[in-house]
Amino acid sequence: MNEELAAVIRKHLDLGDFQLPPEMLASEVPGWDSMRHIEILTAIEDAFGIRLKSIEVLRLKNLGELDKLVSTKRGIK
Amino acid sequence: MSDTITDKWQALASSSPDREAIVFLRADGTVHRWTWRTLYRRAQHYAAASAIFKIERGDVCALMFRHHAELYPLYMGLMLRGAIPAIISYPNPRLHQDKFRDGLSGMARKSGLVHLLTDREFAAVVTPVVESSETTLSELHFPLEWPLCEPSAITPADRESPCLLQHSSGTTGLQKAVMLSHATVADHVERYAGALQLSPDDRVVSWLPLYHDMGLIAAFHMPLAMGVPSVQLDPFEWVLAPELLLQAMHRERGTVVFQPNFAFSHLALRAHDDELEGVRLDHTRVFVNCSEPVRAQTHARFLTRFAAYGVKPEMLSACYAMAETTFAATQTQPGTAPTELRVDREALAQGKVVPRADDDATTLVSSGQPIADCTVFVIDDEGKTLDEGHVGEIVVRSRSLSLGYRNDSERTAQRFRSDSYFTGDSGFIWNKECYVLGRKSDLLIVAGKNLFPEDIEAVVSEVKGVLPGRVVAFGIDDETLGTQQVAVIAETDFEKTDHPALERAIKQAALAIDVAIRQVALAPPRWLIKSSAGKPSRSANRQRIGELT
Repeated sequence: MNEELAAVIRKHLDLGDFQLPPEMLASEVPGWDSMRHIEILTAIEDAFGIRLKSIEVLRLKNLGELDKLVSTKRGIK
Repeated sequence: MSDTITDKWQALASSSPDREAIVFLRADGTVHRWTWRTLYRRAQHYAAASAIFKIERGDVCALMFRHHAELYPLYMGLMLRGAIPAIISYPNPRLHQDKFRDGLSGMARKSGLVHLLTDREFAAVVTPVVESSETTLSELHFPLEWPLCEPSAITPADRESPCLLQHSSGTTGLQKAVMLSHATVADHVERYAGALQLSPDDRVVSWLPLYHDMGLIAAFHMPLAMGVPSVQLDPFEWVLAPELLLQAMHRERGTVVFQPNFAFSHLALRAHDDELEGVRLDHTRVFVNCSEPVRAQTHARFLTRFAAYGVKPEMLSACYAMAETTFAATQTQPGTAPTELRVDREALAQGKVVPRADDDATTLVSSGQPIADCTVFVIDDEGKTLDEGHVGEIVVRSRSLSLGYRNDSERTAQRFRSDSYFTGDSGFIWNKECYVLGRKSDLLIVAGKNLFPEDIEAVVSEVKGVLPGRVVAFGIDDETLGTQQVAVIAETDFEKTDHPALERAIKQAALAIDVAIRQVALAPPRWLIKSSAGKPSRSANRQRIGELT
């Protein structure tokens, strides 16, 4: 996962150096529940100046897919 | 009021076969429109198939499904068969499978579940529970794979026979099950429809799960029995994409929405304008706020946020409801914004309601007056009825009372007395309207969901590094989200502990029972104040959490 993205998630959920492998589900990340889900996405949007549409996010299966979506939006290959 | 829920369905199926009954929606654009003809016919198929699979009259049938278009006729079919459906929550990936199984076993025993009907995808999780020698569950069924059976003759239900079973909270084994008769449900939905002035022109739009009383009774049974179409969304999709509700309100011309307080905040904070292009909400009649204390700040935020889309103050509404009284006890007048009362904060803490208008006032929102055949009053600790303006325990005397908690005569005797339900909620009456302040007990209400602190304390206690039994869990107010959040204080060997690592381990352990802890505070040994019973006191330690952070 992109280190900058991982840093935003870790900081938002106060995760220290908790590992975020691509196959991990959001529900497996401590503190990442449905109520905080949108807060985390907003933090990601603010950090990178991008917009993630709800319907795009609903399709994501794991952290790796989120990483890909964010990278595409940021124009990172 | 002399028929049953199933009589009402039969009458609607013959009088308005082409009218829409239930519209099932998914975020990916899937739409399934059940008309009364197709829905009732399918329910009859399920009733016939359930007979082949040896589901008998009076058998309690747990239904465990994701958002699925077939869930509605299946549920109805079981009721036509004379069985007693109980919709329960399904395991989500966050929940540890063993914890889910423990919860299900406990629920099966307490609620007397006989059949479990589910989707094949949950087979691996639930099979060990059904196969266990100690369970009341005798059979596991996958009804989505049942053959289509020709409808057979249906024996009409008797008004006094059991109709459905609903649970008062999640799936942890501590939940309470209430059984409701056909008469109780059929009469209650008529009374509550009256209080809401529900008419055939209405359309209910709901994202609520059916294992919650508001989702089951208010957003499913009531519209269905009254011939009002309901539009059903997936709760899990809604929480991730709250715009879905407003889009559905617009497209389907929705007029009535039921949701807990937090959902109003969630929509105001998280629904994006760019996903609401063209959406109009002018045709809404009522947004009913129910299932957790109603907050003035939340209503104000919701109004400001959606005024440009057509939301007006008079569309807001509040209700006080619980599974034990089928659903509603009080409801504000539709078409009029709920009364807001500004009272002295200090005096309120002392149990007295003293109106005041300056900055030291706190604003409370009325939940309205009792619906028909229901009375609400407030008592003190000795059980004496209090006058208006005094805070105490809210008691509901209602014709819609359930018969009590299933297989729990002790708790039934405590809570159900003299045709009344002793709610355990704290509140007061002012100008004949009911104001609900919160729980008298330590029960937490997080996003409309009841959580038992005991469950959270038990899992945190097992985390390596936490001193066993030296844990308290309680709710802290989150004004922004308009709900409570879970906080935990755990004693540990303070100096030798890696604090961040232990805090993470505690949060992760709670995920196994699907609880997200917002704040963990670690304390040295013997820090927690004990109650008179010798256990760490939740209320006393809650006041002191600031000393640790």
